Amino acid sequence: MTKVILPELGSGVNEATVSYWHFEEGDKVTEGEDLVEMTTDKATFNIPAPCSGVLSEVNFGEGDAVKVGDVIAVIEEAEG
Amino acid sequence: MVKFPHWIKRKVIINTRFLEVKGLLDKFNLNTICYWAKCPNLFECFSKGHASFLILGKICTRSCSFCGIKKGSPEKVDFEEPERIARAVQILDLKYAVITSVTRDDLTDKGSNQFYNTVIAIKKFNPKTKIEILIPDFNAKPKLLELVISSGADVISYNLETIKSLYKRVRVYSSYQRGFEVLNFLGRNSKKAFLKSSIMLGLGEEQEEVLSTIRQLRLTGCDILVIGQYLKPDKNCMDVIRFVSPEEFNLYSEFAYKAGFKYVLSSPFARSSYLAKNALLKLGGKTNDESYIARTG
Repeated sequence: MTKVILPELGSGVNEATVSYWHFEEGDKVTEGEDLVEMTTDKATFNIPAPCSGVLSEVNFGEGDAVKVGDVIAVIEEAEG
Repeated sequence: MVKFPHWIKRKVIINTRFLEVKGLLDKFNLNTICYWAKCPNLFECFSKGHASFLILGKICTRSCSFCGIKKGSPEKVDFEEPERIARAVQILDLKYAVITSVTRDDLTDKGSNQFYNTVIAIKKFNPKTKIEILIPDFNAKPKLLELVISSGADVISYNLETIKSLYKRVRVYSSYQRGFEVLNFLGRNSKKAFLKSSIMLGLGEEQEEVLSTIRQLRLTGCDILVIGQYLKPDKNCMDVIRFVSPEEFNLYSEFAYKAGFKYVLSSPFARSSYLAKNALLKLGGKTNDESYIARTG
C-alpha cells in the first residue's frame, strides 16, 4: 500500500485544489503516469503515480482543497 | 480556483536527484530563488540537478508587485555563505551554477562583494564549473558593477522584467532607465561574460511595446534573452492580465533572433534561470565569439 501525499508546491503554498482525476477508484495505474491534477494560485501540477498498482482509495474529489501532507489517494501495489 | 490554459501545467517529479539536491540545500542552510519565489519549474529542475542559489537572505528591500519573495528588514550578511555554496556545487557536481540575490538597498556595497566572493569561492573549489550571476541593479553604480564583472562570471544577467509603461506598477522602487544604465554598462565593460536579460509577459503589455523592448535590449549588447509568462505567486501580487499562447512566444523568439540575439528562450515556463546552462553550451565562450571580437576589438 503506497500513499500519495500532496508535497509542498512552493514556499508558503499550504494547499492546492484537485482539478482533475486522470483515473477512478479501482483503475490500474503505472508508475510515473499522471494520476491527479492539482491547481495552486500559480499553476496546475500533475502528480504522477509513485508506483504501479490499483488505485484503491481516492480521498478527495474534483474541486476539493487538499492540505500539504494530506493523503490524496492510496495505491495497492501490483504483486511480483 | 484560477482556470489556467492547458499549457500552464507542470509535473511533480520527486526522484533521487531531487531528494539529493533538496537534502543538501537544507543541510547547508542555503536558499534558492526556485523555492522562495515558488517557481513552478522547481520539480523539473531539482530532479535534473539544477538549482539557482539565492544569496544575501530571503527578504528583499524592494516591493516589486510581481515577485513572491518576502519584503521587509533583511537578514545579516552571512560571510560563510560563499564557501557553503562552493562546497554544495562540488558535492552536487554542478557544471553550471546560477547565483542570484534579493535586492539589498540597506548595504553600502548593495551586496556586490557577496556576489564577488561567491563566484571566487565556486571557482576555487570547482575550477571547471561555469557560473552565471543574476544581479540586482546595484543602483547602477559603476564601481559595484565593475566588481562583479571582475569576478570572472561567465554570464551576467540583469532582468528588465517588464516594459517601460508598466514599470511604476510592476517595479515601484526600480526604474526602467536605471535598468538600461546597468545593461549598457555591462555591455560596454564585460569582456568575458555574456550579457543576459529577461522579461515577463501577461502583465498588460501591448505587442508593439514588447517588440520595442526587445530591440532596445539588443542595443545594450545583450546576447541572451529569456521571455516567459508571468504567474501570480501570492495573493498580494498583481493579477495575470493575459495568458500568452505558446505560438505568440514563438513569434517573439523569431523576432529576437532577427534583432541579433545569440540565444533566446521564449515560452510560457521560460524563467531567467530555467535551463540556463543551455545558452552557454550553444554559444561556447564569449572570447571565441567572432561578432563580439569584431565589435569590441
